[in-house]
Amino acid sequence: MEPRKLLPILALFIVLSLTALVWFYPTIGDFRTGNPFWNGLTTFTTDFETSTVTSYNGIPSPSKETVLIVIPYVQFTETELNKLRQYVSLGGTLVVMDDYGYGNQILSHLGLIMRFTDKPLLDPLFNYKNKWFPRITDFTQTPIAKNVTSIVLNYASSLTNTSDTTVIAWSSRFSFLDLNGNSIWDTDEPTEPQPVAAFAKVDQGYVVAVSDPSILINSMMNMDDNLNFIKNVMEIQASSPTIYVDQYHLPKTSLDEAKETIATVGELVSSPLGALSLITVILALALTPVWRKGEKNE
Amino acid sequence: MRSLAIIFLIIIFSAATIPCISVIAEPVYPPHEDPATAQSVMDANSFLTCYTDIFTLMSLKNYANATMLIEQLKFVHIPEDLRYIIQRYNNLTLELTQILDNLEKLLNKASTLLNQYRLNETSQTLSEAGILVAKAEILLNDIQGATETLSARFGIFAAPAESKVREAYNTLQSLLQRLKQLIEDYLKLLKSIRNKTSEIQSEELKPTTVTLNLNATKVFVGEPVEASGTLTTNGEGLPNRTITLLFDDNPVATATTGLDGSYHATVATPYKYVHNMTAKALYTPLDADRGVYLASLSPPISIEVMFNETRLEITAPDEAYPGLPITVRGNVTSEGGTPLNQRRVGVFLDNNLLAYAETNHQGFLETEATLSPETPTGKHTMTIAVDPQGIYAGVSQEKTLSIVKIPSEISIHVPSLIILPAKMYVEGNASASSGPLQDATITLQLGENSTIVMTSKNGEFNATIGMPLNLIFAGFQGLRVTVEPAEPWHAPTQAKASIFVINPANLGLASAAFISIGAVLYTRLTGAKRREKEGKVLGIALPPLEKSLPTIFLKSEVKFEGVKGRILQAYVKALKIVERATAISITPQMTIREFLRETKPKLEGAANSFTELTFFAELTLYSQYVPAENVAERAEDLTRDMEGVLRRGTA
Repeated sequence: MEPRKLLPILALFIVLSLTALVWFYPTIGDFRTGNPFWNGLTTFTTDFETSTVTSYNGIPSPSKETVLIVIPYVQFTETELNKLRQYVSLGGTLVVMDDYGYGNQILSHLGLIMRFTDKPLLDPLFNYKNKWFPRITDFTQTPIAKNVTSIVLNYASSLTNTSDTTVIAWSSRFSFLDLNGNSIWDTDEPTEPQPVAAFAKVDQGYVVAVSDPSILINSMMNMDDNLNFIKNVMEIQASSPTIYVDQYHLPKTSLDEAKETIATVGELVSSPLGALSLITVILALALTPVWRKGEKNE
Repeated sequence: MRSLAIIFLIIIFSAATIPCISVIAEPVYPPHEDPATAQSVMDANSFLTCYTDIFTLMSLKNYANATMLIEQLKFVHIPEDLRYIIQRYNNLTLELTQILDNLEKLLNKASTLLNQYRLNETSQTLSEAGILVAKAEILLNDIQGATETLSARFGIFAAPAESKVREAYNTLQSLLQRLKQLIEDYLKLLKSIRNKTSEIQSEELKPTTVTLNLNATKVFVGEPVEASGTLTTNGEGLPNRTITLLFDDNPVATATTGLDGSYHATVATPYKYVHNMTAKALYTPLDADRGVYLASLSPPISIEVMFNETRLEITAPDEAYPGLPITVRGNVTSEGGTPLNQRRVGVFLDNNLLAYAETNHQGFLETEATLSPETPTGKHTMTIAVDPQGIYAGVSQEKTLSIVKIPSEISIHVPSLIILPAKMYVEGNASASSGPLQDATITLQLGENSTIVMTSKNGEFNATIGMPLNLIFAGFQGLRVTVEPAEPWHAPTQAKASIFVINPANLGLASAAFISIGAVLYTRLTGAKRREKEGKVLGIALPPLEKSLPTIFLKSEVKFEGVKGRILQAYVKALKIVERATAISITPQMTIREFLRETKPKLEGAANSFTELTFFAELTLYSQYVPAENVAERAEDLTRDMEGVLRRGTA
């Protein structure tokens, strides 16, 4: 075959192969429901049969007996915050799992004074392996603490101003907030037990704040009583609720972006207008020889 | 090609830089680390600090909190190489704490017994305490040795003297000394009590004897028992002395001895629904008797306590609904089936009181308890407990109660076809097995458009959704209708319907596009066919595309440019002269060399010129060679020569 004809076919083959590879290779992004690796949520999504929310038009309605888990690593728009507010007001359970993200935007919009400190909570004694994995053993007697003796966090933060909420769990008295980020305790850094999980009733719904989203990831789910803790949090309002995981406010890897692009192209092509355009292009390409023949004949 | 390369470069550059933009938006700290590969580190300073807290509590005799802290140490991460020694250290400390706690209690008990002149019991208690002191001393030595070993393993001795870890180590050492002092204090106290005991024993106080008799050793709970006995010293009765009656070591009554030392009291059996109790009488010297008499305790008497069991039979639903009442019915009877009236019965859900009820004369109870509207669905524990009353013991029963919601149903009527832009009218009704759903919130969502309405008294609703023009071409769209009942006991539900949506605007545009393409193609194809037909009519066979390219080129009205153009123009001119002179026309299948071969015999004087000209034409057509100016001039000369020769009729 002439190189002139072979090259486009080869290029098309490579493009299609790469597209397939990108599409079928699992995502490696943090907290992604399709990520089967240590930092993904496949175990959680399988165990709890969750649904994924990729846009805020997909927020469950009616919200009663549903749980929406938000890991806010991307800023929220006013519209999104209003939708969250409406979701909670109508009886939904909003679980905000944040360490260094935009969780305070949500808490503030919901009228709560509780905040995420956005600073690392380190525990040099009660931990798993090292101080970046604080082990929590102090739980308030709430249904969320049922069958929970200890949980392990991973690069967690803490909560503050929890006077308008019910604190579920506290860190040990050996933990401290690393305010200046030097990983060691300095005299001006707070050392008393810090709240790491709390809940509040907002209208008909509940807001649960957990200062570490990493307890959901595959490598952390089965540590200590993390699974029971998560289960109890999910069932704060109703047993066996329908769980939704927000994937829209997560950081994206290049692979995620590529997948998203492919999905967008796929959606576009699968829409009537897109399909029509594609057919037109294919028709035009297929009929080019005929067109040329006509020209020559002239 | 160049522009294509630029586009590719832009795409590659964008792909490479977009992830960087994403990274910039990410949090300051990493969200997590793989725990499987995380480095295992133990913080010696924190560990020693924790132990200083524990030893401080121990030295303050706060053994309960010290024990709690030690038990929490199981949550401390210990690297594999230190696990054994640290676990042993924890266990030794825990053991020492418990021993010191028991020692404290025994010494207190001994002190109390001594104060009551119960010398035998005091001596026995002191013996037990002595063993504990010895054990505590051994354990403390072990802990001191273990502290040295552990500190060496932590590398504390290599740390600078002013470091925090050395500071913690020094504090720990001073606390260990305080613990040593504490044990010595206990030993001193022990010796002190022992000495006092010896002193009292040396005073040769008068021994006393107290006896106890009960009129019954098998009684119903709460029933009075007649207790009597005597208090004597060396066979003589001691009058006006207080005797304390103990049931299971708890004082329940006192009696005063008479002139002959005898006493009598009526004691109500405590309302403890246990089958056995032990009764004792105790005399302790008071006031003027102190330093004169020794205390005495009667031999124990076992009492069989009787009471009636209560039977409870309940009827309660297996399922309940948030916000709705449940009815609990039951029968409370004795073991023999006698109805028990006026018995208070409590109904609890997950240990929270729902209602109290009382049984009637038939022992029957019926109560209605309303569940909180916020009771979460799922399995709960309902407890029905009958309080104990008189000779009847209490009883309770647990039952699993499933909190569920009544399923809701919805029926909707929607048009099957919509032509955009349009307003779609939807009607329907919402109901449950309990009846129509009044004031339920109905949310209708069709694509990006939604509307909310409320149901009427009979559960009916109607709504209109505006559907403006959009990008939809044509196809099915899903209408989602959700029902949020006003009552907490009704479950939300939703229904879906497919509606075929046609967008005439897009449809028109698409049709126009298709028709345009079709029209253009039709024109092209029919034009080509028409010309082919016309060619056949004129007897001109149009050549096949590829093969006859040079021929077509030569015969067409192509504009010749440059040196190559001049050569080819000269050749074409010569070709026409040759065709005319020889009456041989070049055919589409014929190459110019074949044409030369055909015509050469008839060209005579012009043959060489035409041969040379054909060579130039071939060279120009098929080779990369760019002919020089003089070649073009030569070709034009040759054509002129041929024209001259052939015009003179030599051909």
